[in-house]
Parts: sequence; C-alpha cells; structure tokens
Amino acid sequence: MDKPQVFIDITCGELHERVRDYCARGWHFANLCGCTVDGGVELIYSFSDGLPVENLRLVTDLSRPIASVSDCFPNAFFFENETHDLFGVPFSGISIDFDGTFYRVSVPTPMNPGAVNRAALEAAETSATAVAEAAVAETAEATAAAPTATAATVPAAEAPAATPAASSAPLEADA
Amino acid sequence: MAERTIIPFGPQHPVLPEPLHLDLVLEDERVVEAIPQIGFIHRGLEKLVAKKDFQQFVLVAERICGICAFGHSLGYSETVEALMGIEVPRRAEYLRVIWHELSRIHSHLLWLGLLADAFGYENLFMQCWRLREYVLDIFEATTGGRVILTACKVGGVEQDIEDGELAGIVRVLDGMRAEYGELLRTFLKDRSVKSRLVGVGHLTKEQAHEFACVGPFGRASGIEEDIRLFGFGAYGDLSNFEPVVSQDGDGYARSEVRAREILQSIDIIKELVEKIPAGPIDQKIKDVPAEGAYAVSRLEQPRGECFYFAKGNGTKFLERFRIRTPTSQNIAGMVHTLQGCDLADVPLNVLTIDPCISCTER
Repeated sequence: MDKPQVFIDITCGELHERVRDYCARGWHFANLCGCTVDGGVELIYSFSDGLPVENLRLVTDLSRPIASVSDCFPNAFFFENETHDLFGVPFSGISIDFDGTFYRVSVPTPMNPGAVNRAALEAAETSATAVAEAAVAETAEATAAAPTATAATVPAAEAPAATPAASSAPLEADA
Repeated sequence: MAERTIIPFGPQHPVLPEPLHLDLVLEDERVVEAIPQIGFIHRGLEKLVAKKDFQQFVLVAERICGICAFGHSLGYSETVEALMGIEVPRRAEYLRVIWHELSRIHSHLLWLGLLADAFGYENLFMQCWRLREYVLDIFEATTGGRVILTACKVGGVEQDIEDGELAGIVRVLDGMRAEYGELLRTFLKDRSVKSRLVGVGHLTKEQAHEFACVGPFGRASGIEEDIRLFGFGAYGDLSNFEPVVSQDGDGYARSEVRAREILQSIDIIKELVEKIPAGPIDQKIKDVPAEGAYAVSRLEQPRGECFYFAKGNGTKFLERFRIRTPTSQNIAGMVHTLQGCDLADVPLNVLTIDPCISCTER
C-alpha cells in the first residue's frame, strides 16, 4: 500500500484557523518540522487521523512570532520549543515555554545559523531605538528643569535587550 | 494548603536508563505539577544529511538509538523510497518485517526487565533479559551484529536469510515462547506485580486521545491505533492483525499490552516465514531525490508510531530529514499522569511510557 502524501501550502495567517479545524475534526497533531529555505524557515505541520496524513506547509521570515498551536494540541509544546531552539523560529503563547533552554546546544540555532545574525541585528536595532528614545526623554526633562544642562547619554550596553516574544504580537496575517 | 516544594528529578536517577529531567512541584508527597526538561544529549544527527550521501545516511539513522536501531534504518529507507518512488522487492519487505518484529520482541523484553527492576523484582528482570539474549543471538547469526544490524538499505536489504535459517529462527522462538509463558503469568497474575502497577499513572481514553499518545502507551488506554494495521509492506500479507489493546489505562495495562505484543510478534514472524516469497532482495538505485520532493512516512516502532519526513534537493544529499519519535509524542501524556501521583510512583510512571531520550533528541 502506498503511503499518503498530501502537502498543502498556506500562509502564516491561515495556520490557526486550519489547526482549529483539524482539532475540531478529532485529528492528531503528528509533527512539526523546520527546514531552512532562502529568506527564512519552512515549517511543515503534520496531522493524522488513522491512515490519512495531511501536511500544512508555510514559510516564515522569522520577523514575527508564529502563534502557538499548543492551545489546540497540548503535545505541540515539545515541537515548538524544539523548532525555536534549533531554527530560531519565534513562537508566542506556547503552553510550556522554555524560552530557548529546551535543548543544550553549543551554538545557538544550530540548524539555521542565519537566525542568530538576524536576531542579533534585531536586538541591536531595538537597543539603538531604546537608547535614542531614552536620550530624547532625558533631554526633554533636562530642558524643562534646567535649560542650560546637556542631555546625558546612555551606554548601549545598559539598554535593555528586547526578547522576540515581548517585541511583537502574534502573527495574525501574512502579507 | 500544604507547603509546596520543588524536587528536581533526574537526569541521573537509578530508574532512568537515559537522561530526562523533571521539576516536580509537590504538596507534601503528592505531585501537583511536573515540568519536563530534555536536551542533555542532542547530537545533531539530522544535520548530518547535509554531509552524508542519502544511501550512506541509513547507517547514521540506525545509530539514532541502540534499541530501535533497525526500525530507524527501516523508517529512513521507507521515507526515501516514498520520496523517489522506489518499489522494494517482496522478499526484502518480508525480511524487513521479520527483523523489525524481532526488534520489537527484544525491546519489549528489555523494557519489561527494566520495569521489574524498578519495582524491585530482580529475578524477573534477569529472566527477561536472559530471554532477550535469544533474539540478540538471532541478530548476530543473521546479520553479524547484536545491536547495530546494518541489514536495511534504500531499495531493499543488505543480506538474505536462507530458508533453513528462517526455520531455525522459528524453532528458537517456539522454545522461547514456552519459557516466556512463565514470565507472562508472573507479570499478569503475580500479586506483588499487581500491587505495584494497578492504578498507577491512570490515563483515560479521552485524555490519551487529547495528548495524541501513541504505541503501547496509547493502546493501554483504549486507543486502537497501530500503524501495522494499515498493511504497509509485508504487514499487508498477514491473514489477520488486531492491535493489542487494554482499557484500564494504568501502569499494569501498559505492561500487559507490551507483554502480549511479544506473543503477537512471534506469531507475525512465524506467518511471514511460511509465506516469504523467493526472489531478489534489493533494487538498484540509479537516481537521486528530486529537487523539491517531499515525503512523509510512519512506522510502528516498539515504543509507538514514529513519523519520518524527508525533502530532496536534486543532489545526492537530502535537504532535510526529520524523525518524530514516539517519546516526544508521549511526553505530554506522561506529564499528565504525573499530576496527582505520589512521589514514590514517579519513577514507575516515567518508565511506563518506555522513554527513549536518545531517539527523541537525536
């Protein structure tokens, strides 16, 4: 007997609706697989119901978190934490979120080294923005208190680094 | 309200053959929450597909786990065959299932021994592992290896088993069945075994379905799912196959399902030995996986359904290969069974899912 091979291309925005549909129909969450592609990571969500297997295929550029499906399928927490640690894919709302400490790996995101640079770049940009905003705020305060005082500068190292989960809301729609 | 305490359990623990860590939140002696942690032995084996020829990688896949070694080489081969549309000779399919069912027998005997050891029945442990030696001897006689068999390859199998040898295997299994009957009675009837397992780590059918539990862990809660039912490969030629299921959903039911599956595997091997056709054992592979080709495959490993994924890129190296192991699917259910159990039952509860962390982390 041939093994069923069904792959359906979707966008990130369609994911949750389709997953809810599988959940409502009593299917199982079978697998989540990351695969590095140009411009991001391809995610393949697999669902099974006895013999039939269906795979949802989507591509994320890692710029915004993917909404977790662990609210529909509790066993998904394992795969989402794994995909986060190995590929650098940010997820929001995982039922048990290890926040990057699920796997003890010697280099960050070993299956997708590009994600490290992108994350570092985003962190640096966020820090730079925070520094600029803090400087502007201090300048305004100093100007109001003593018009002759100069604005204090905040060292970049002291600026708080934003985490992916905190920096943006769950992805609702894919452009 | 009782004071809460957090007890770290594992990764080094006498009952754990492999490193799994749990943070147990306790109220007195009762577990109210368990947070699992793995990641101590991630080896990055899936990443090696970028460096190993897709035909060589079967050797890496086999080394993912020392217990379901043959199963992983079989699962990988079947996935690549689905990716490339390769048809495997019938005799090779029969030989694959015979080795795979032998692996199930040795895996279940190993687990039953570990379980007996965990609840302090050392003689039972030794008897289980003594019987397991028969299967390892068959492996050694037919492939030359006792753990890593290197018998499976993309397109077929590496070596044949002569008809005389197949008859010898059946004789060994018949002798083993008689000896195993004694152990089976002990596991299913002995008062000390029941007192330690009945009611421990209860999981209902609805919960097992919600957590998508697979393998004997799910079947012990009444989930009638077994990939062998779908008749892939030589399983399709079996005259009758019914999964071993229990409705009790506790530790005793899990040991009962595995214990009875050993007898079922012996029956499967005997039937296939009678029906095995003559013919070639492999198919020459001349092509490489096409660019953008995707395939998924499932295999009933001793611990449950294993899910394989492969993607080709038009070269001799696969773009991606992924294994979702039964343990990763069963961890959520295991964590649920821990909630509300006594601290003293935690090791047994963990053991009853037959966790394999080496497979899970790869």
